[in-house]
Order: sequence, then structure tokens, then C-alpha cells
Amino acid sequence: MQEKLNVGSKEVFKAASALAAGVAKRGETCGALTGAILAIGTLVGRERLEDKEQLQFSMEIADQVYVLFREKVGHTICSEIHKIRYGRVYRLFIPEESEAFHNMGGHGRKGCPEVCGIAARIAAEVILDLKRK
Amino acid sequence: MSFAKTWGKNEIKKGGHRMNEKELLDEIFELALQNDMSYLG
Repeated sequence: MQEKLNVGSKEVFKAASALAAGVAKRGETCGALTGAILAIGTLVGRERLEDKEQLQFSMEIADQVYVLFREKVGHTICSEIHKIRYGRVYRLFIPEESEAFHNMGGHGRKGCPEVCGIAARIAAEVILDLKRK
Repeated sequence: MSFAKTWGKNEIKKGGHRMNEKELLDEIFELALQNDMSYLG
């Protein structure tokens, strides 16, 4: 996203690191979704705490992303997405389950990587639209 | 949504040639997918 659409920064890239696998591997909100909202936030987020109008605008855009992501992926929670894609939950913060996840091909195309692609595409569509305005 | 209505109609400059929006979005989709396959875990 940074490379192709020239959004974000090294700092934002760093800050996103532990969002993966539902926040620190805990299976909560999908890191692909939070990453998408983070990328868009670099364009629409408020720069001053008191800027409520910009806060509201960024919430509206993030809500569009949330709804589209849920429609296309089926859920926004990492552990629920596991059930949809793999038929069970892998608790990735537990080393044995993380190993089982990798061994069964959790990072194959049709698993989490496709979810990342979907989120990136949604974010890119929104960003292109914002840049047109 | 407005971005859905205009989706695929614009052209974006990339590396000396112009690619349409769908091509760019397809490329971003594939890059994100490949990055997750290669660098997570």
C-alpha cells in the first residue's frame, strides 16, 4: 500500500507490527482490517485532538471499510475468520497451535493471506476515491 | 458508495505507463497476499 499508493510512513509501518493475528496473536479484530483502517487514517485522521469534524469523517470512512470487509470476509474477528477458512480456531499465541497452523498451511493463498489481499484492496479503493476528491 | 460507483474508470500513472484502476487494485491485492504468505509467522 505504501509502495503503490504513497501513503503512510516508516513509523506507521512500525506501529502496525503487532496488529497481526488479531492483535498480538490473540485472535481479536483481524490485523488486516485494523491495518487497512490505519493506512486510511494516515490520510483522513485528525491532526488535532479538538478536531471533531475530522474525527467524525474518519469514523465514517472506517465504518465503510468495516462493513465492506465483513461482507467480503464473513467476519471481522480473527478467531471467527479461522473457523470460516480453516474449520477451527488456532490460538496463535500458544506455540503448539501456532506450529499446527503453519504445518496445515495456514499461510496458503486461501487462508489469512487472501484476507490480507481483500483488506488491502478495500483500503486501496477507499484511498483512490479520497485522492480523487 | 462513491468509490464503488467510479471503480475501474480512472487511470493511474505507474512506471512510465498508465494502468487502469482495476489493474492497480489487482496488483495491491496480490502484493498484500504474497507479503502475508512470505513474511508472517
